[in-house]
Amino acid sequence: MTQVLTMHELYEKAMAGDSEAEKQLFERLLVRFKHFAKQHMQGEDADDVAQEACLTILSKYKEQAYEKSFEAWAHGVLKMKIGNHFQHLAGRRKNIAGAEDVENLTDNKRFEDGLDLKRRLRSCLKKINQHHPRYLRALNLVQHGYTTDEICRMMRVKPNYFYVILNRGRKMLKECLKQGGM
Amino acid sequence: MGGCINPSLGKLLHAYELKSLTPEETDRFELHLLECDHCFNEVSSMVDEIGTMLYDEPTKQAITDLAGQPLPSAEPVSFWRHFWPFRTPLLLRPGFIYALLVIALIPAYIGVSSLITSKAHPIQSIGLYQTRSVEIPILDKSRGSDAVINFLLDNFSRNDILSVTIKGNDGRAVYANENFTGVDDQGIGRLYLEFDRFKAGSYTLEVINRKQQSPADRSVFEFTIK
Repeated sequence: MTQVLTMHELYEKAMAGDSEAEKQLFERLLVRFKHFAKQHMQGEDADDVAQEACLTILSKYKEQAYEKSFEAWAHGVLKMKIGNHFQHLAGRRKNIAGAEDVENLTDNKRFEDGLDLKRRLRSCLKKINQHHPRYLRALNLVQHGYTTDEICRMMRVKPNYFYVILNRGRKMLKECLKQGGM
Repeated sequence: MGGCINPSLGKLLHAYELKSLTPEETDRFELHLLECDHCFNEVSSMVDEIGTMLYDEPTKQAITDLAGQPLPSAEPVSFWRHFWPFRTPLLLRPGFIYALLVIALIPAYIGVSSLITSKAHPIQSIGLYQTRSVEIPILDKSRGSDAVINFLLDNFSRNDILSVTIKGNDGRAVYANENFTGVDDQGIGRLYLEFDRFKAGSYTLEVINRKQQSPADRSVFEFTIK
């Protein structure tokens, strides 16, 4: 059985000249960065930004003096790349059409498909609402743009308990979806 | 596969997926995701489901239908905040005004309460006259702590010097004043008496006009304290 090294252990080995560790480190970074980037932008753009960030990190990480840690610096590089991407898009949109909000660029069209998933989701949410209505209420408030503090005030719960409500609901949702929404 | 390497950050997982964390919390959680395989795998496993919940309009509408339209967020104001609103100038804050009123009312309260607790009684008053009446005036200690004795002097003139003595049954002086001035132009003397200096019993009030040095100017009155 192979031992799974932490990201920091991989980084230290890579710094010591272990090319295999370096490869693993950047593979792991790329997977995570793609996910983080997808939280902010559409699929293909997210992949491009993640790859670009990884390339920047690969070319500079050996000479870098880190204030906090390699991970924090690498994460910062990705955030900077995402920011640059939006600046670039905003500038292009201004030049071409103007007016529309940059936020609209993150509209995620890929979730508009998948009829089966939607059906299962709705069925599960309905089921969860019968047993754990606070999750649906929290979810609804999140969707309506309320902040965690506002939701906690409205639901009269502390933030820690709000996270418990969310995670409990998520667990039920995952379980229900696993069973096909039945 | 192990669990989360840092549960205090791991609890933010679903809030992160729903994008309800602050930018600082998001950064912290993403750094956690770099290290924590468990949380990353969890997040990766539900990307499509969570994305559908967040972006698909019919699904969002279904959630709203199930949970109900959220009421506008009313900022709850604590009970004490009514008395001490931060945005109001200090002098106009109700709490400050109430405090001033209370401070102003304290002396009045103390005055009234001391008046009530002092159990004020009307001061008793008796008149002593040189008559041959057998009825001896009586002062009742149970009716209060003080009394005024009025006595009438014959042949009194403004320049006279009076010596007043109260003696008990045993002939011992309980009260003596060699230069008594509490007599008005009509020869009516007024002597204020504090009962706590007297026991119950019979007393004589002797008034001597020392200026005239004549036995005829010695006046004696009797009274009783019960």
